[in-house]
Amino acid sequence: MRTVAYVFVIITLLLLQTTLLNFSQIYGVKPDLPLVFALCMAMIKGEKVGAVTGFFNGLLEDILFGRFLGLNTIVKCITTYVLGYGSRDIYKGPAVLTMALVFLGSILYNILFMLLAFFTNEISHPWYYFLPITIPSALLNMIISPLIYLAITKMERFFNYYFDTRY
Amino acid sequence: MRRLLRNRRWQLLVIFLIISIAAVNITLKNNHIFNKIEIPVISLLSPVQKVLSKVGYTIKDNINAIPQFFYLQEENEALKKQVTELLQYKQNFMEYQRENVDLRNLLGFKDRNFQYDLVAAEVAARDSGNWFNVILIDKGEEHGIKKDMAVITDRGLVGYTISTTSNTSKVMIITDERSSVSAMLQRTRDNGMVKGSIDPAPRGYLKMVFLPQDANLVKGDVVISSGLGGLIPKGVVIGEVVEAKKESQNLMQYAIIKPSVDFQKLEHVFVIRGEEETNR
Repeated sequence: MRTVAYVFVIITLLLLQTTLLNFSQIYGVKPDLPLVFALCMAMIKGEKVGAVTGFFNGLLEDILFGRFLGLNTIVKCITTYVLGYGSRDIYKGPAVLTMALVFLGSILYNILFMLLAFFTNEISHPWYYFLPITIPSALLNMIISPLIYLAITKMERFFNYYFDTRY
Repeated sequence: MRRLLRNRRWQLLVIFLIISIAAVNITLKNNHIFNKIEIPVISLLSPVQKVLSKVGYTIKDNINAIPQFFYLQEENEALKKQVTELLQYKQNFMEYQRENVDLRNLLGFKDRNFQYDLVAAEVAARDSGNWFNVILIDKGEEHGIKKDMAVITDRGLVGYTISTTSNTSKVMIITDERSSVSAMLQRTRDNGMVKGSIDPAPRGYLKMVFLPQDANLVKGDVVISSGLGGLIPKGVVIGEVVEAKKESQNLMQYAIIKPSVDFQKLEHVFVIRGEEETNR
């Protein structure tokens, strides 16, 4: 049931990202809700759950807008795994820390995306738009991250209460 | 090394990477396999995307209408002036058209009039990332749309279709770095190639390359599609020149083009299914 709920959340976030969020672009860049969700999942539930969330989210993006399978799937899966693994032993209580980790995760995502897109001939001038895209999008992701982090912790508490409590 | 390979975590990682690389390779080379995967997912999600997009446009229109209220009188005056000017242009145009027909008849040319076979479509969704510019429209193969068809608005060229399902099509916008369209300057008829936002064009602008060294480029020159390559019909407006520069070896020139279409406000588009020649 918990898995079904998370799949539903990922699909909803992707639908919002590709429709309503297009109206909130700042200098042609928008925050990446599904990526922030996957990064927060990796921080809260560990690298494996994070990687699966990133994988599923990337796969849907590739199917909906890509020209082949794998670009977003691989990059999002690796990014979330690395962030989840790297933040294993870090106490993630303060919102500032969540924001910093999401910022780093977004930078890593853009670096990996750029490299894979370059090797698959999807982009030919990777460095020119690297900074104009990466820094604003990482900042936007960082700003929205505490909200999504909080939402996931609330959801987890709800699921724990309703599905895992044994009498 | 042997211990590392025995580790289950590393084994899984290696298997995942092999499968991923294979998936990239297979779907990159075999479009039909990717098509089989994308059809059910897009068919399932596109109706919801269409509804959400409509909600977004409604909210945006309402928000935009608030400040416009204060400028209505001023705008009305400006529009009246514009209508008068356009009526004058229309008169001139009709005069030139008649003159053109007469001259063509005198020279014995067959008078040809091309009309596009258009299909109207709505933008259902946009690429979720920030690197590429791809949109999803709500018309597909059932409406006669195929891969590599030009997509336009009343203002000019939007892009071309890159894949289709029965009820949707993916359109690559001309500002996407992967896009490339053969074009010409309307005034001088110099040919070139318009590419998506690449160095040194700012984001959202285009770069027209392979322009001859002696091409006389002026700021404001209109760029139209040249029809070469057969992807985009000839004469579709792409944008206007904002800057012209020589290439580093001075053998060619390039121009920075501002697209005529505002891609942020893209709501309705037309797909050109073909050209129909009507003889008068």
